Amino acid sequence: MTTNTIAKIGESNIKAQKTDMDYILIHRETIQPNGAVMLFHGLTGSPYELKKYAKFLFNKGFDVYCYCLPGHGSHQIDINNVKEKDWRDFAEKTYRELRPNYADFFVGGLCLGAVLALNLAEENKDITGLICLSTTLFLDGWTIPWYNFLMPLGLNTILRYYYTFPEREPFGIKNEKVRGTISKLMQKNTVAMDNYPLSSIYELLALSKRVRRDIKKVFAPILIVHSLEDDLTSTRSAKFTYKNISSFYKEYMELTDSYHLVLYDNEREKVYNKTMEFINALSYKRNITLKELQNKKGRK
Amino acid sequence: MQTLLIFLIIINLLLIVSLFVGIQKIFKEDTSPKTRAYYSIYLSVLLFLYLAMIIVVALHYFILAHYEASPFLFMFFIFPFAIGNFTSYKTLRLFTFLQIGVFILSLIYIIYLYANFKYI
Repeated sequence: MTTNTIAKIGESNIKAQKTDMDYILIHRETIQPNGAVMLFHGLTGSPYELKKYAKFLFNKGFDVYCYCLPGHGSHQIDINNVKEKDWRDFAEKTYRELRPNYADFFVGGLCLGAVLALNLAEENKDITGLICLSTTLFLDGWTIPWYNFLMPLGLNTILRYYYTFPEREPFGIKNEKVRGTISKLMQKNTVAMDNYPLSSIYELLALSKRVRRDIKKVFAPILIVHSLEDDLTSTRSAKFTYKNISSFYKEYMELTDSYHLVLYDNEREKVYNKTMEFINALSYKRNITLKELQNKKGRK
Repeated sequence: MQTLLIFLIIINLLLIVSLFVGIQKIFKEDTSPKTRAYYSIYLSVLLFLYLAMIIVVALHYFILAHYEASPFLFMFFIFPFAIGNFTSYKTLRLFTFLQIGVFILSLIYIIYLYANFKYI
């Protein structure tokens, strides 16, 4: 018998707590899974943005873990108190706890989550594969406001705790129908914050800088998905990652009809299917390598 | 140069008042993110003008070999970044008042420079 568990743990101070702001955990209790996927959400987001993707992966036979990152899923004050080290430590700790339970362990994420996954791969060489969606190593998308040139002033002075970028159209989504739904949910503060505090952007940029510096330490196979029309970060981030990582196996998919939130946009099916292709290819390669090793041993 | 000093005094005054009004009235939880965003842009523009003018005045005094003024002005240029570096969300209010204090000091010093301008 298979048991699917979707659990919500933790109290949230946010206005409404109907959705999976805090925690999504999907695992099988009795049947041996194909492997596990740990996913991280984006900056000021929540596990909600990964929910459908997580279910899709679960239905394909994987245990899926999507945790709410420190400072998220509750009040805005919390995110102001969080440093990028807190995110790194959280990811590392969670990974260390879960990794021994699975032979295949994939790590992925969207936006900040992708950066965090890359950081984790720089420190841990036993990750089976990385799934980086809309990796945000540079903030240079087309919705970055005109007064962006003042950002260094804001970032490096006390203003970073006062400065906020209100979340606005298109909310990272090209599909108007989905955008409408997300917009309504955002107004209720149930799926993501309705603004980006500059202090959180400061921490994201600090993490991105760190990841860029050590990116050559990434050896894990990787799938990079980025949209040409990403409103928050251009394809520069994806191309930088693709060019500089040391992985022997890397795939890059460029989307043409989506914005930043690729998991909810027009080409989500493509992303889902590509992820499975990537995972299957790795499993296939892994099986081949194992067979080769066994054959060699047999011959000896 | 005198005009620049007058502008600097005005900007400095605006910064002190705006920052004070900001922490007392604008940067509250019940203020909409949009208002907070626009107000912080306004503060950033003021700070940008302040720093640009400070550096111009400092260089001017340096070029004219009035070395006693330049170090103070350079210090006022660096202070916002130094304070920003040491601030955390928990100590924000304290450091904001410290920043206001530094702006008041710089205002006094610029008024002093303006008053003594004829001797340069």
